[in-house]
Amino acid sequence: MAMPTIDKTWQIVETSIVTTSHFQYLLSLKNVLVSLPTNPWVVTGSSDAATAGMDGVDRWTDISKLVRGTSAAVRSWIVLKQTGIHADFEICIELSGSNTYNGTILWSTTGFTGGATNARPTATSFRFLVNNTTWSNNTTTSAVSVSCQLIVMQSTDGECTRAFFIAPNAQNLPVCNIWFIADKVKNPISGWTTPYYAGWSGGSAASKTVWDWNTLTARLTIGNNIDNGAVVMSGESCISNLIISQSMGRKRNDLNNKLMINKIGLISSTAAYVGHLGEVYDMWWVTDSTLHGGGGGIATATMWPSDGSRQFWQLNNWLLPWGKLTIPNIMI
Amino acid sequence: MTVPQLEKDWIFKPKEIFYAAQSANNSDQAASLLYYIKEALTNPNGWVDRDNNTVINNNPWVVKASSNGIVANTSDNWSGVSSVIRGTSNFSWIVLNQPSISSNFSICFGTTNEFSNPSYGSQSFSFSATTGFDLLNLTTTDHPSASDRITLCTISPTIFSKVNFFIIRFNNTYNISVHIMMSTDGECTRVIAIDHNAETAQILLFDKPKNPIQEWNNPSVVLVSPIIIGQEEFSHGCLYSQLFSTAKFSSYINNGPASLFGSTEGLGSPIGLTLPKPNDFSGRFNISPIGLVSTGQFNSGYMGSLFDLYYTSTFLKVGDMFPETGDYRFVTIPNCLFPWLKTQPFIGGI
Repeated sequence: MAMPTIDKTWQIVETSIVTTSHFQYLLSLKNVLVSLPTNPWVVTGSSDAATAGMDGVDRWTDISKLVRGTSAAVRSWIVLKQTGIHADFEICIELSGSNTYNGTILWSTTGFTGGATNARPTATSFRFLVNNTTWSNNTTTSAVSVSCQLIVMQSTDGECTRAFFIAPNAQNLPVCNIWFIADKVKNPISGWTTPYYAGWSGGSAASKTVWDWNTLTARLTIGNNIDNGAVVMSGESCISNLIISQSMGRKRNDLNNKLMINKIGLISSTAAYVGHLGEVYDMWWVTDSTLHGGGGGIATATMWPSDGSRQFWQLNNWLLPWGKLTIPNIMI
Repeated sequence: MTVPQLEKDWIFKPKEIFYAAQSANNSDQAASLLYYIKEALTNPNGWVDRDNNTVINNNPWVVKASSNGIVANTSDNWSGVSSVIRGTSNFSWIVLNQPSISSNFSICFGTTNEFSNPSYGSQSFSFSATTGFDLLNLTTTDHPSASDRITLCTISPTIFSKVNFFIIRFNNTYNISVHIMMSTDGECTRVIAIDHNAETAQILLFDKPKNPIQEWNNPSVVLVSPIIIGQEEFSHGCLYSQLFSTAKFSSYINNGPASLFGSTEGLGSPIGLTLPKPNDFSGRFNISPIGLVSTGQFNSGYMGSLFDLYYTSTFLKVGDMFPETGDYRFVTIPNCLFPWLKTQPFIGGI
């Protein structure tokens, strides 16, 4: 199958995180998002547990400013806005957990307001991505174990942002522990007035390595209300599964020796959102486990096509644009 | 998804009624249908366009050879229904070629040598995608040979054989409607036969695929959806259970027979099955294109898709039209959408 056409222009930032604190993940993510060359995210408010306000001040200046707190205790939080998705699209990260890998992440398009050193700001409507639970797949406290590589991809128009935290597993193979997506929908269904979605994958160890379509259920949120539902990434299917997970999709085509690449759709079964809702920009399904040569996985950061042009990189079952001269620096 | 526009221009021979057999012998009705299909596909006259205007079929199928049970040669020996016979050894068959699909693409259909049970009216079918049939060694006792011949309905069926019918089985009680459509460029031919009792529809499809991969030589795809007679089941011929879940499409790819699934968007199961209700935003039933995926040992992979044929919601019944009014571009034959006459609803007028 021919390599797909890339819809957008992408800016890609790679950051090595060598740390003893999980909070460094969040601080690094924030620092990259607000410093992107084109259409960066903007801090609209923050708390460092000493002072707080929705005043546009970025109080997360270093790791010491990220303080966790439960119940009524003071804690750090931050609100970031990306108008490329929606004029008022904001995410709020609150360090509300009992340890450094627990917390709360939510998004809204109705505008966060208020907030204090011991309470995050609120919005009329919002969706949780992480609701006072584990946001990181890495729940160890070893200094080596929490080090990772952060890759942030954002379209230059600001409509799509993807962030991946990649670390070596016990076999020293790169594994994506956490991903964050906030996207505008491609070709949204007519009549859908809120065509964007966001997702955060962390949590249990079961989701540590893959986001095959089974585990994507309930990870991508849509709508703008706490009761609104989830959207799932669909793909070309037959028999009973995505083709890329079946034998004919895990082999190179017998005629042209190419692996199958499928576009990703968005489907929801949530009441009031039922149906095919649109597509995903610049992300495609590919197999991560071939049947060739006795079988085996396709390593994370495998580059495509094979002519060395590095137009795309593979992250488990996702094919994503790359376009850089260097390969992803994910071997730590 | 909004109702798609037709990718091809289509002509039709709609609503031909075949009456239930007046006796236990359904072979006569089967012979009538087989003769009708031959005449329809090869005769440039008698077609209408989507506006129901009389038109000429500029790409009719061509008779290459035939048997009337008495002689077998390269002539059209099917001069009438009486030419379509079955016997204990000799039987009738005919080879039709459609060069618009590929230069040698040919189908061979007819009766069988299963003479002991004429009530079944069993039929035979085979096709050659690339080489064409051997026209030098013709016999009244078998379909012509071809190095790439694929037989989908045997000439020697047994009772309760699962593949006895090229197209619908006749019965003593209910009439059958037959609708034939061809794209004006000759690349696509579809036949729909509907049992008036159960409204079950059987499908024949002989198509050139849409966007076949470059390496697929002489791309073509065939669908023959016979009834499972042994279990006396009558089911639609283009259900998800048949096209999506089982490899009902046939072809010849990379020097070997291939069975293909009709793939589509889904979560493992097709969206029209898992989310059959109207879309909450558009208010419309889902319509999704159909891909062709092969699982053969030497021809595995995604091969292309189909022109003007879509999957849709399982809520829809035979005859549901799209759009709802005016330009009836598509008709529902569960679980698919086929092209239809603009000005005539499918059910109204039968």
